[in-house]
Amino acid sequence: MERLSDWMTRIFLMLILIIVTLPIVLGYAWLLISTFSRRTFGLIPVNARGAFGGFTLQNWSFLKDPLIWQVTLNTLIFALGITVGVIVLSASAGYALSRMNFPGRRFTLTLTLLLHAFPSITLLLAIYFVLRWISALPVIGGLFGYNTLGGVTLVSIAMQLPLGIWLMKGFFDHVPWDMERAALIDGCSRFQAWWKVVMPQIRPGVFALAIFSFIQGWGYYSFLIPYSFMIDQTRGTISTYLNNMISTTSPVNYGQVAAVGLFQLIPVLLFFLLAQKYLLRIFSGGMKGTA
Amino acid sequence: MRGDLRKTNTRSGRGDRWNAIGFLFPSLLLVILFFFLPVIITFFLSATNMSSSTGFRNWQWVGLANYTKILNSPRALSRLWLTLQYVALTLVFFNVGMGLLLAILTTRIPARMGTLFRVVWLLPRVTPIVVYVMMWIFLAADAPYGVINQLLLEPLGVAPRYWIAAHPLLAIVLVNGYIGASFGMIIFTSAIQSIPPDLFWAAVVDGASWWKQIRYVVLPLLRWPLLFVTVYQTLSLLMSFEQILILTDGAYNTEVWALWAYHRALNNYWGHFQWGFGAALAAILVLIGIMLSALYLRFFRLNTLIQRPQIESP
Amino acid sequence: MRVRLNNISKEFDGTAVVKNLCLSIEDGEFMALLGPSGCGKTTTLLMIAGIYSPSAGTIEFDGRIVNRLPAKDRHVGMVFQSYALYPHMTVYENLIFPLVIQKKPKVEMRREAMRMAEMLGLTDVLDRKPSMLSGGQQQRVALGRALIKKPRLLLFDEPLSNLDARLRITMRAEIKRLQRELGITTIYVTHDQTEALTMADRIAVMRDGVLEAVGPAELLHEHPPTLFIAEFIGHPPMNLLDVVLEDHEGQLCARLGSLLLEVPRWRSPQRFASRVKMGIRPLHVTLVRHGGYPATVYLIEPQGNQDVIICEMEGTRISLVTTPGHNLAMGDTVHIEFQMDNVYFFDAESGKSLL
Repeated sequence: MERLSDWMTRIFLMLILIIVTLPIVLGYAWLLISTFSRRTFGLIPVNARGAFGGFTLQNWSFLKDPLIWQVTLNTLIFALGITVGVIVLSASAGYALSRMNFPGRRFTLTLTLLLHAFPSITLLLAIYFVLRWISALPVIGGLFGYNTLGGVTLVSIAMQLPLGIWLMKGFFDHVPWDMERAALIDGCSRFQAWWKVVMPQIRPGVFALAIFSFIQGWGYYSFLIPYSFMIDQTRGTISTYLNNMISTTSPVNYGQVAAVGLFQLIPVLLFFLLAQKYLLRIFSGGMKGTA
Repeated sequence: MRGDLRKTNTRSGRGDRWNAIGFLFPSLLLVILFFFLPVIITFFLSATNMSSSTGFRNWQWVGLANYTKILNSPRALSRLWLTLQYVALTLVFFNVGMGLLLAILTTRIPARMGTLFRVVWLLPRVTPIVVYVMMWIFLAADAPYGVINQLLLEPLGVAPRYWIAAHPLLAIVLVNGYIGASFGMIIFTSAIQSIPPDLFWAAVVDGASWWKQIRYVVLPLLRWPLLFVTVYQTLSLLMSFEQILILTDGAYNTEVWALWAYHRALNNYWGHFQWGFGAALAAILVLIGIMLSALYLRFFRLNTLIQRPQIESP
Repeated sequence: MRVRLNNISKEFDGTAVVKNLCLSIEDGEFMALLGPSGCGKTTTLLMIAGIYSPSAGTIEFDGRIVNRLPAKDRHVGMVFQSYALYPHMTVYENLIFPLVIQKKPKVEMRREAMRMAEMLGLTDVLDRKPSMLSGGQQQRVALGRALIKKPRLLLFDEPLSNLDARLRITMRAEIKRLQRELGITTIYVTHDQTEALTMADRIAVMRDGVLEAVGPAELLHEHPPTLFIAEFIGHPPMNLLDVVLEDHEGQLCARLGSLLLEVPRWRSPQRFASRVKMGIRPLHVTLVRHGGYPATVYLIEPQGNQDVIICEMEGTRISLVTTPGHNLAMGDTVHIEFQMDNVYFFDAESGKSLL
């Protein structure tokens, strides 16, 4: 009797889960189907007369457009730049916050937490002025100013920093002190001890944060910031390219838009599925001590 | 003697201070450039009438004029109301409600299935935002293209329509909620999984039903994670507007406060940018953000997070 | 190298962990820092290594003050309780790490690593990661890593406490032999008195951040200057009994409950104290067939070559050491005798020896 009711409960719970999850599944199903169809009515691919059929590879013709490869390259540089920047900066700052004694340490930690919850996105207007100012600097301006890939990369790194520093600090907190002491006694400077001994110990954490930063850079950050601070389409990302396709006034070719979407999604999806175990951990790992 | 101690203490801190500055410098630079400076600039701009018609030269100080203009604007009230509805609904039904539901359900079914559902729910979070919003646009599209229309029209006989235009508030809540729910889900799941199993066994021995276990064992232990997610996500929802920007660009009365500020300052149809006014709108959000953050900080037991460094540089 | 600690103190957040410590270690000497956990001995060691800097006082190496000298420039080698091997490097890479940092030529690294591996019996495991080694092997790698840069001072922080008893004895002998061969000044922190007694030339006993006494093992054992050292050094621990000193017709007697024990003249306290503790090692309490004082057997701990018997008399417990094979059971009545030539007297308040 009890077995039966237990079993029923489980079925019931699964049913609820399936219903609430349905929109996500439908969305991805639509994306996949329409990519290879001339048109779709709902989830059903149709031909020109509205009957079932009309499968095509036509939607992928955008791959012949040199612009898509330009923006893909831009997106890749952008996402890799964010990944490297976030890792290097938050690893060094996280190390200092986790393991060094200096006046203002507590304040800096509090600040990191505050920034973590700070409305950076609403400051876009002011950031525009900062980028304009950087543009006016010699040499640096051309690399990191307004309307440069370097500039939007820097802004995106800054926005990911609070979370990155906080996670890194958590990873460093778990490295045994004796190991670092041994490195210092073996002749390392503090910098060498960090780089040669402590960093290798947190490799799994670095790996997880790197993948997370790349995914975020490829997807989330590659829209609003480049969209706001880049004028030339050739300097844009896949996201801005895609947004252009959706928001133009001319009739939209749904299938082609879906194909570009899938094109952008594939690397993220592969990455995510490869590393989902780590990522589930990193999300909850950053939460330690908040209870 | 005591004086002596002090002196050597500060001397011993110095080596670490230089080391720490070296390690912190690059991050500090970015934080100053893209957090501190922008906050100052925002407040500064909000006291001017700078716009694309005044240019960067002919602007004037206007004091609090932008703020009084906001206060007297009839649009301000409606947008505030919309923002509140949007934040409250998304928070209650998705970021906290759905997050909690998912956490409870996925820990109650076989572990592999639970992980599968969690992975599926994380997909919207990692999907490029434009692609994600696009999926919703086509789910909701008018007949014969929209998926929802197709699934409702035939079996249930509901009249087809363009659902985003029909229920714009619902649309922005859903689009944001399906991303936001995974944050709460992950945090609540790890909290539930860290509840010692003997607590559940004790409840089972006491004859507690499944619902009672949730009510009397799980929920009380989730108090802090619940508070944390609520405060943190309120902030995220208030400040973010990218999804709405792509979904409706503020059409159908979905221009929330943050999007309003963005439109006024950086991106609008008329090409007339009111930097001063937009900055004032943003400054109000910044103030709310600072107040909420202060509240949020109280939920961190900061002292447990700071260990005393066990290496000192001479 | 000569090491001198001049009045050093260390406090963390206002709590003093080491208080006004003065200690000199001679060139080539093996000094043990002995004390219970939390007595500040590891903190002292880390100050010598350059990991912590003293809150007050100076540390001298060969007469030169090194307070401001970073750890990397102190030419010390250290072996940690946790071994602190680098898990991402092989044994070989661990061994040569200090030389890599010094940018020594490859040939020299190879030669030195081979010499170390041979000396420590690690030749077969050079390509393994530390996690694949036994505790004893890890210990040897840690030792090799500390020795390879030819340190002028060798520091050990409870290096043997993670090993099993057998291995501990072997390693004890090996470390001592190596130290003698190489003649490196050594400071060895331990809470295990056997290690200190068997290995060190001199022992510095610490308690609550304060140095209780320094001296060769026999001296501390035969003439414990304080109650704490009397209790801490020697196995099984010394019996410490509350007694009252009385004068009976010119003969000094110690009253233990209803018993009167005659104190020989040359063991008489030199100073007056209002409350007195009498100490006697279990070895100097003997079982006798006739005479002596009656006591009840409370517990018998066979230890192989000897038995420790704890008996109760006059409301206190007294342990004694005897040869096995006396057929006693708990609750039996025995007769014991105190060898009063070997008693100690301490001031119960200050803990100082009265002899």
